[in-house]
Amino acid sequence: MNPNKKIIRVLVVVCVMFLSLVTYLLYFNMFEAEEVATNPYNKRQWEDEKFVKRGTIYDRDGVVLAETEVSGDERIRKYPQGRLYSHVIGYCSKVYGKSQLEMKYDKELLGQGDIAISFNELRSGYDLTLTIDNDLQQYAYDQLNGREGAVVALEPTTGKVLAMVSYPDFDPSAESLEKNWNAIVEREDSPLLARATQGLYPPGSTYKIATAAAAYETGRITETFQDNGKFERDGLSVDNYGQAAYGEIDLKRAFEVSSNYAFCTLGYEMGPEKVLEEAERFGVGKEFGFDIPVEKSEIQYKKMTAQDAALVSIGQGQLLMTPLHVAMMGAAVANGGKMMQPYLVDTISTASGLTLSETKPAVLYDVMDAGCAEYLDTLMQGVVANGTGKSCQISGITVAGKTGTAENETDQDHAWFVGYAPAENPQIAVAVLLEYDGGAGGTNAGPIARNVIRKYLQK
Amino acid sequence: MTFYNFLSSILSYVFTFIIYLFIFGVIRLIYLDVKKMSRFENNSVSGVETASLKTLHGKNQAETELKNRYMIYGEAVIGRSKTCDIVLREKYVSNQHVRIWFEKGEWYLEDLGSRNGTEVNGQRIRQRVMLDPQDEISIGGLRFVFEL
Amino acid sequence: MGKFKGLNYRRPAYLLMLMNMFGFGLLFVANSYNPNILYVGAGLLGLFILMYTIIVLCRMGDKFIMLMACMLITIGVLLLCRIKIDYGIRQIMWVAIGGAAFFTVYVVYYNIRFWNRMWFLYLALGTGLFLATLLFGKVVNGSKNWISLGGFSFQPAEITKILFIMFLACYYSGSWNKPFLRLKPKWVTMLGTYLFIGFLVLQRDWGTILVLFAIYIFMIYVYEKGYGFLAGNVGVAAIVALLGYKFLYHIQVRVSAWLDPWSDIADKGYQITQSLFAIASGGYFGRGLGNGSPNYIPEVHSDFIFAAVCEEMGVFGGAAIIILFFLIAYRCFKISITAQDPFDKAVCLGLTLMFAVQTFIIVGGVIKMIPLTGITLPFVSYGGTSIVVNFASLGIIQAISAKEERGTGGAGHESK
Repeated sequence: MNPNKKIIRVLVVVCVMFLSLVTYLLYFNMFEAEEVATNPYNKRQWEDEKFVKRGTIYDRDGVVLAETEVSGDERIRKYPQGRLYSHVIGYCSKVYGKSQLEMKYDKELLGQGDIAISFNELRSGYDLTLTIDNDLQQYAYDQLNGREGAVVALEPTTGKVLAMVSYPDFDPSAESLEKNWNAIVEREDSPLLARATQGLYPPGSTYKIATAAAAYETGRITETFQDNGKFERDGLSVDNYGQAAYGEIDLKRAFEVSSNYAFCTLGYEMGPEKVLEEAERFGVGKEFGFDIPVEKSEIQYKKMTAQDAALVSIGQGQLLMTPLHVAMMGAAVANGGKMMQPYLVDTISTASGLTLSETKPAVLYDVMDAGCAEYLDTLMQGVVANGTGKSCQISGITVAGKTGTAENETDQDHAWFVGYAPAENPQIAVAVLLEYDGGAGGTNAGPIARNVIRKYLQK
Repeated sequence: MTFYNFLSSILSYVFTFIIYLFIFGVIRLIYLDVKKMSRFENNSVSGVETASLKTLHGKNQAETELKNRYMIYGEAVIGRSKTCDIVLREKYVSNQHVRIWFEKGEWYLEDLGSRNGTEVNGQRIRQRVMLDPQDEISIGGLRFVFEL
Repeated sequence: MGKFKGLNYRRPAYLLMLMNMFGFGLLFVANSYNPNILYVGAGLLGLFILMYTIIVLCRMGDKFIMLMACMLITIGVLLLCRIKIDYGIRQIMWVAIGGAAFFTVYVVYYNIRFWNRMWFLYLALGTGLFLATLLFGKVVNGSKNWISLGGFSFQPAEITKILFIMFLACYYSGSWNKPFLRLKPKWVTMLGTYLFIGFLVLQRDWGTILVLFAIYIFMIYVYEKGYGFLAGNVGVAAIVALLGYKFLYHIQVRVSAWLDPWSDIADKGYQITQSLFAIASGGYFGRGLGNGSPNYIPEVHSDFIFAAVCEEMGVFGGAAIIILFFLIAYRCFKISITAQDPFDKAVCLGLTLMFAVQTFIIVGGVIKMIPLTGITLPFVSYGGTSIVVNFASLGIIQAISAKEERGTGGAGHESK
């Protein structure tokens, strides 16, 4: 009996065993290591901080938003504005790790990638200057006044984020966080959720901007509709808001009064293909890089039918967007059809004031041509002048906007408003979301947007 | 980052390089080793006849150290050249000295025109001869016993 | 030409020396010029040159195995010195003793021809060691597997691994075929195996159980004619493992810590998550020797040394260790295949499997590919018994290889 043949087979088995070890090790390092390494329990992350004074974060006017105090070996991260930036700057806790800008810009804040070899001295990390206007941020926060939701203000021509508030929030200081973590995590209104960037909501009628753009592109803007207050096709039935019937109306009027009948008809007739194409143009379903983690807006159908297209056209159905994305949609119209890449961090500089990098505005998507943007501009001005958005009128300033009242799984609708001003030369675009508000976008969300715009333009 | 940290991070690449160079070197040597023995692998599988030359240490005055036994798998050319199956680095051994092979149930030996000749059981051979077990073979003065 | 060839031949050895000098030089700087580091490095270098030279000059068979084992030891001692210099200093003493053991075992194994007739001795010695452990042992890390003799502690389980392999080889080499107490040798070996495993269960030494059982299963596969006996053993083992999982808390903890360590990082998942943190922080090339924080990992000097290697020398360093072990296993398999004597063949196969399985179990455990069971990584981990026993095993393999190369393998063991 010669066992050599079987010994060779055993060798093959051993070979496979060792190969699987190497493969798993490489797999782990490629796909899991980053997440594991940044786990807050990994004490290694804090070693670098022993030698570094974490960088300071400023608003665009130099107001300190986050800074580190050094006392001996202790490093205390202070947030002078308290809770105001809990969803923008995030937190930095030895127990629970880092979030938002503190996480995404960890390397820069620690001054890494810097081969300045200093011998065990305390070194300063890099400072960040944000695009945010601290006064506007505070004002938007006050305007939200404890209601759950989000306010996002952008500069349409550049994509700079001027203000970004989400509520409910939390105290981001490490001390408070470590004391109250369990209570915060267990709260039903999820204060840790950055609603502006990571909350996904049906955009409701604000999405009619995209549908109107599709109508413009398919040459349907001269059509008129016989609005009897109810859209009914193939068993799908959609009422206008408040069951109102508007009779014979053109597209502009339909947009101003936010006629579900008209827009469902448009969506139904243009069909799934065009509706999906338009959504993609506006960036739905696509990831875009941002300075803090952002949820991807999505439109989820295995196979989209004409009824689905009708629902999506009024911002319902399986369409979900973030408040930031809705603001970008408004800003794209304001910017002549070009959606700008939004950004929070304007410059990175050393503690001594040397600017290391400066973010340059960049076009994210070319959503529509200038003619289409101009057409949408007139529609949106109409909404504020004599439509659902009258509450947003500001004397002396032309405001353009679109209201939304989005149905959801509860009977309390989300109230939306997205708009910009001045219409002739837009300087600010604002999106307001009030979560489970129950009221109409025009009456509840609109005034917040109006106040934020007025506050900014008066400056 | 201290100077040491910096030095160490640079050296981590050097270490990786050295270790893999080491592994590569070992694999290469093993490969050469296996190649030398591959004849054995093949023959043992296909069941080719084997024989061997047992060194008669007592009667040899070799310059280099001889193995106790040289295996012959089917066929072997013996000589001083590196290309031979059995390499004998000895003064009186020619580059290609002698060939031993198996054919139709018998083992044969022939001299490949060596300078110092080959003897089987004391007889200088001029043409191919049939070998029997326990024949004493002298290759350039080195004595072996042919064994099956 | 000859000179050139000789140079090539020695090149891996030069690289090993280079690695040694660079590594210990770096640690010397890291530990604020502590001369002990240099002594350890020089000692290791000296030992390596001595052993390698003896093997080459005395034509002791395979030259690669010791070369690769020395590379593993160099990496191991580097890491141990970096973790705590004391470990490094003690490890180098163990390596010296191990080297002596290597040559002693080599000479003894080479010259004694009746190893295959002493199965009863191996069984009795193994059982005796286990009983002694149970009676006099002390508990370390939840496993009662240490014996202390006059200030000198060792792990009998390590020694029983070799005894077990010799015991199996007696039967599977075919040199033991007389029934014992009317039991066929096949059943005696099986009972012996389960006796050893039973003792190990009492000691809660799950890693060694896996090693012994894997060796036994592979031996059955290679030597038993049908597959019935193999299937029977695997089946019984599977049932026992399932029962163990149901009723033994120790095993449940290990399995749940393997499936989801993240839900209980502070407690049950602590060891494995600390290990994964280290590996993940290392990246491909590591953080550099002395830059990492291996001391966060529990048991980093013994069971978890692989995680420390990955942290400081990177995933590529870790993969290199796996490759080295594979090459060692490959060479040993080759020796086993070419060995003429059946007892040598079986012993060599068993020892090879011991190295391979042990490496797989601990590396797989540390990287969370399989549940973690504590066992040392041969040649790399700190541990006197482990180092000496592994060297002794290499000594046996070396002797078998030398017999083969010198053509004396055919003489072999006495057979009846």
